[in-house]
Amino acid sequence: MPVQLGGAQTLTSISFRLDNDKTSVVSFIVDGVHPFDIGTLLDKQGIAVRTGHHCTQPVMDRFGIPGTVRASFAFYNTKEDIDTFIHAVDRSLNLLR
Amino acid sequence: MTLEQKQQEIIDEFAIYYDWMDKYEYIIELGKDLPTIAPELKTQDRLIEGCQSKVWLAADFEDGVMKYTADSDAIIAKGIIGLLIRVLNNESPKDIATCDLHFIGDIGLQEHLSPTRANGLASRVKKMKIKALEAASK
Repeated sequence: MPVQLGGAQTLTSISFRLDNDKTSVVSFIVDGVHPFDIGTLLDKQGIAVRTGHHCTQPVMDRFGIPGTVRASFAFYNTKEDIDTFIHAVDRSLNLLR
Repeated sequence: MTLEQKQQEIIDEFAIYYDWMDKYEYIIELGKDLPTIAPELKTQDRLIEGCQSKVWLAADFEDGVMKYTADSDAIIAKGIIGLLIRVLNNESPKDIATCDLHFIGDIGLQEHLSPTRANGLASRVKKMKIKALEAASK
């Protein structure tokens, strides 16, 4: 199902689709962009995410991807945090693509 | 231009950027500008260990100097190895093996890399020096 994250509807370059709306963990990839590059630029914008294969190398091999970016939201995160995250991803992709 | 002058040139270029996002933007542009290498050179023996992203390094020894080319599936890694190539290309194996690549620290790259990426950078420098030593011993 399409998920609107905070004010993300104002951005056109990102569309998160979560198969399970019961989790706060968002693991994503972007075509043509290495997850590590996204993670590096998010880090420089103060956003902490995990990148890589998350100890699931066989799954990554199965899908033929080098890894994913994984954002984990918790009870202390606000909608503003989500907006900040989305805008940081958008800014990163504008540099990387 | 000497190896030292090339390092200073890079230091000067990075000095005009205050924000690290701007510095990364510059590194990304360098990565995009780095010439691609032939697909047949992307072999397992040219793959550098220690990187979360894949980096292939090809090295040739011609007319007494080293010629490096490289590629990566990640654009920032590609930009960083592009900087190393810019400094070390066309230098003698002896100069490469003994040089102090201080520009990495001077531009703040070392401290602004994640531990994984810093390990990857160290692996790339080591690999380039080993390739130079191998060429010199032949």
